[in-house]
Amino acid sequence: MADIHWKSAAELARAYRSSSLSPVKVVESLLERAYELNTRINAYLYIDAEHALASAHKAAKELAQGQDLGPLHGIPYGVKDIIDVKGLPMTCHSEVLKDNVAQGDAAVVSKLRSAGAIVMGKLATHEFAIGGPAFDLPFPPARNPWNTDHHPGGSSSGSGAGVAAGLFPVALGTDTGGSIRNPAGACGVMGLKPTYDKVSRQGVFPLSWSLDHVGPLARKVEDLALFMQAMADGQPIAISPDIKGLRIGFVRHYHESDMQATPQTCAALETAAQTFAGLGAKVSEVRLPRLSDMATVNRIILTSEAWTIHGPWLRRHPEKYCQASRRRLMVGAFVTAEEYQQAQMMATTLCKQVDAIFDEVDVLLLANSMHPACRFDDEQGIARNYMQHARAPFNLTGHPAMSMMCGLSEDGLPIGMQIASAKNREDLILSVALAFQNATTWSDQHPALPI
Amino acid sequence: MQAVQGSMFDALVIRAGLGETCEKFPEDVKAAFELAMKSCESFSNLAVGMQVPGGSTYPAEQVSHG
Repeated sequence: MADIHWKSAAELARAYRSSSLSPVKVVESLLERAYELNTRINAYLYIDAEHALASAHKAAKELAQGQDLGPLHGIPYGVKDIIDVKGLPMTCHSEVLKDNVAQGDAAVVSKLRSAGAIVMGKLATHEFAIGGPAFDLPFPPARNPWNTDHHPGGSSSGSGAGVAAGLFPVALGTDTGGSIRNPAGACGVMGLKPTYDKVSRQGVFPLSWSLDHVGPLARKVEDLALFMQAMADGQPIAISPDIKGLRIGFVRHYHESDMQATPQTCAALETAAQTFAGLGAKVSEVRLPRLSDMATVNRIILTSEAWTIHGPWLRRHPEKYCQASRRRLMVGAFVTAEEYQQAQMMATTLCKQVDAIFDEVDVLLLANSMHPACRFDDEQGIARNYMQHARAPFNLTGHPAMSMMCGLSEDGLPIGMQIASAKNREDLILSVALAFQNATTWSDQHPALPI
Repeated sequence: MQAVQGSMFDALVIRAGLGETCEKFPEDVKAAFELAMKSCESFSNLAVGMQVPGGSTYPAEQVSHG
């Protein structure tokens, strides 16, 4: 069957049940693609062909015998290499943990294993989800499938690049300052940062425990919903593309005055707003707390907590970290306890201000990155990638937010937008995303890769 | 002013236990310090006057970055 690699998890689940595809055929096909493409994309740090194939055979047999574990049974996915998978390397893309092997599954992997999903391997990240993209690490950085000279965003770089390249339909990522939504936007796929604490962080190497979130990246909205359901409490997430009457707050000031997005990004956001209005949503302009304020408070908390985690190792073995990690992590050594506590209090205040917005509107529409993905050799562009964006507010407040593609730049690189909602209303975000997916062709566009 | 900043840098490096790291990677420690000072300055400016959960306001003297 042609194009197995572009099939969504939901499509694979249907194909398994109609016997038009088997998990074995799908895993074999994706492994073949991985061996062909990974030397160019570097999405995988470790391909677990042996266990993936064994799991596929087991799933095929169980499904044939009517032992159906549900829609994720036999569905392959990739795992960011800061999340434990029992028996597999858990390096955090770092020399520090180069020989580390996970002794157990992270809670989220355990849940997905119970649902029958199949781990394909471990995926590239920035070192400890902060230091990258970097070329002074034991493993190369992932590359953007739309143009391999360009950065795929981070820190869940392999997750975004692998989903975009058709190496697996879904991947797990983590998001502390935007690390699911950044690669999702840069690679033209979708990434959902759920409500804080909705998905367990047990077995996930922390960067900043107040801000860390675990979530899925995928090419289709239905897949995000299926994985979120299994990763969280197992309760079905009801989504509908009917958004008539839904109140959408358009946060223009983030990309027009707080920061300045590229004209094409601004235009893509305006078009998205018009699309939603055309679908019957009530689109109005709203204001959030200043983007720079949110980012500043986020940075104080992130750097303080990250230093608490890494300080003891970094003092002993600074040479084992890449330069980008050293420079970013040591910032926390110079932040005082007073500043950290004040930042935590401010986060509470800012969170209440964002909560209040959701009395006026159901979801927010806003920019993701202000610029498309830059080239690896563009140092200023790389720095801009981690400064010029609108992702940090929702790490600070814990509100769910997702990124999805809404345009292409003149260089043929994806442009993303964000949709955010009140806490625990991922169903609203996914419904709006589904409406957009159905009304546009962006989610059907893929990078042109050699086979 | 430069001398004051230099002694502040030395003191904070020692307090953070980064003396040896600074010998091996002086440019990285300096870059982190400068970024931290910039971040803390932005933070202090933000903290002044911002309402806190109890409804009180941060007095300026409580937001120095030591």
